[in-house]
Amino acid sequence: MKNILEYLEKSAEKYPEKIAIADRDKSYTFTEFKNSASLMGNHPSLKNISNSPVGVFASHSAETIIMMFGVLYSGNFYIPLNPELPCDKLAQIINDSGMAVILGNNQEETARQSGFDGTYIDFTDIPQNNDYAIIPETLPTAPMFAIYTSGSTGKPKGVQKNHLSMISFIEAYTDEFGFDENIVIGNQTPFFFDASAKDIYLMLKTGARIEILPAEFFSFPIMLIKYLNERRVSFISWVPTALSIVTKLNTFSEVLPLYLEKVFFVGEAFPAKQLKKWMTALPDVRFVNLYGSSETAGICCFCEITEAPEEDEQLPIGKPLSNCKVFLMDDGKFVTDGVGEIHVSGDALADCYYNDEEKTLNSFFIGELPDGSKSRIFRTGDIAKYNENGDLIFVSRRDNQIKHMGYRIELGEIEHTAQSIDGVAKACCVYNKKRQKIILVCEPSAGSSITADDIRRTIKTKLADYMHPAKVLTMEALPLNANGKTDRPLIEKIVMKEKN
Amino acid sequence: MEELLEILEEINPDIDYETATALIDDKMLDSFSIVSLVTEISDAFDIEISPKYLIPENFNSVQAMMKMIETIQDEE
Repeated sequence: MKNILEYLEKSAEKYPEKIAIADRDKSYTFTEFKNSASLMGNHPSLKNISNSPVGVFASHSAETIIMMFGVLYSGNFYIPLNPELPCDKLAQIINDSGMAVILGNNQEETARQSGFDGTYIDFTDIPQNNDYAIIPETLPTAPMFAIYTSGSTGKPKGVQKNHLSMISFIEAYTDEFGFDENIVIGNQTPFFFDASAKDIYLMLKTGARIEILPAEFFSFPIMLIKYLNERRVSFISWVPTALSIVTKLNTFSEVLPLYLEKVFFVGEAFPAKQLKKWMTALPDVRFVNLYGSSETAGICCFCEITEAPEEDEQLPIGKPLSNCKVFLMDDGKFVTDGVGEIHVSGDALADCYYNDEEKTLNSFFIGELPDGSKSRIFRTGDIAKYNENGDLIFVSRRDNQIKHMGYRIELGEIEHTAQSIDGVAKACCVYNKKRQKIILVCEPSAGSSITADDIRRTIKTKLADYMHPAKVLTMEALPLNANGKTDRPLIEKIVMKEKN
Repeated sequence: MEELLEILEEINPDIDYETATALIDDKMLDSFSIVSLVTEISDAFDIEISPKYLIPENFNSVQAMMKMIETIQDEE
């Protein structure tokens, strides 16, 4: 396979009139999808550059996917941008990536407000002619997309992946679970979130339809389930936070999803209590726990859950997908008994952190695999162990990265942002896992009259909404440990005691 | 009313709840907030909010929420 676009060409040839992408208002057949994307790919401003990063405003709509593929047809790679991000944050991503072109759907103002002075192309500017782009000679090892995630130093971190990584993943994924053109994918994860690639490329490879679910339905899940029925959605891969909303609000006592066959969950641990409610309400549905990280395409492990878990049971991460080698290491040695850090090897690995060689060298290295061969290896930072069935079980993180509402967040980024505010001397951010709340504790600078409310308001203008602390507290002096460093465990103890 | 305002302030203190009339339509409260809100209201008012009450109209304003709470209380 030359590159990922071959999937689109094949699906368009096989299912020309079948709907590929649908949102609440519109739909595109595979032919329309391919034609629009390839016309966009011939836009002069995109044809002028090659193998370069192009921003795509990733609204939750069908056009976003078409624009991403427009970028690929032009021989460049895309970087999805969350249009809801504060301008400061967007500016950081735009500058860090050095993107010269941004595509959007009526979003030029957002681009300009974020200091972007390059070329903006609107979806409505797709050339209206028959000048379709042909598949470019992009190599499988050329970059396909980069996704920015939270970075512990406050600088955003772009993870760059190539065509081969996605091909390797999607082949293994469709094989393992027997997906075909008859499924209807109900997409929940936003397109600026790495997990959404699984839905998009599954549609592309199998010829199935992707239904982009309106985000507002997740507030009122009866509407959501009725919509799934109306659109005959048969497969969902959602973050547990979204799945939990449905059961926490007792939706199944009113309406049941009639066409669902498979329910996958990814991005964070699914509380057993809520999963049990799903499994009890839908006994004929297949439930699978997925595990992956942005540094590998798609997922690298999965575990089929066949029996409803006990209320406090921890779900296993499971076993590797066939395209990945996954193993535990501790201090340079392989671990089979006891805890170790999860390491992953295979074609699905990302290329690098964009423009950050130091971070790349820190997380990706060439080393020996358990079978003695040498390969590129990614250190995930997740600590795990094996259970008696040989399934991996997540234990903890090596650093201060957390998962909140399915998003991966570095507490260091929030601390760094707080410390950049005038009047804040030091900051420590902790996560109350049980109540799912981010709590920020700040030490005001000497003589400053800054209040917790001031800090909270300023933070809101600087970070994505899912990173906003639920509570900001001030302390005259943050406690220090014996080494003179901020005593995080003690602060955790103090704030968890309060009614947070 | 006081109790409800307290719950809402805790969820997002930057909204002027006394005057807001389109909390849902204007996307001031997201799905995660709704779940917290429903849980907190159920606890504070000792009621069970059945799914049929979970429609945008019942959450667009403090008045609408109070009315919904009273309806449920009357039913119980």
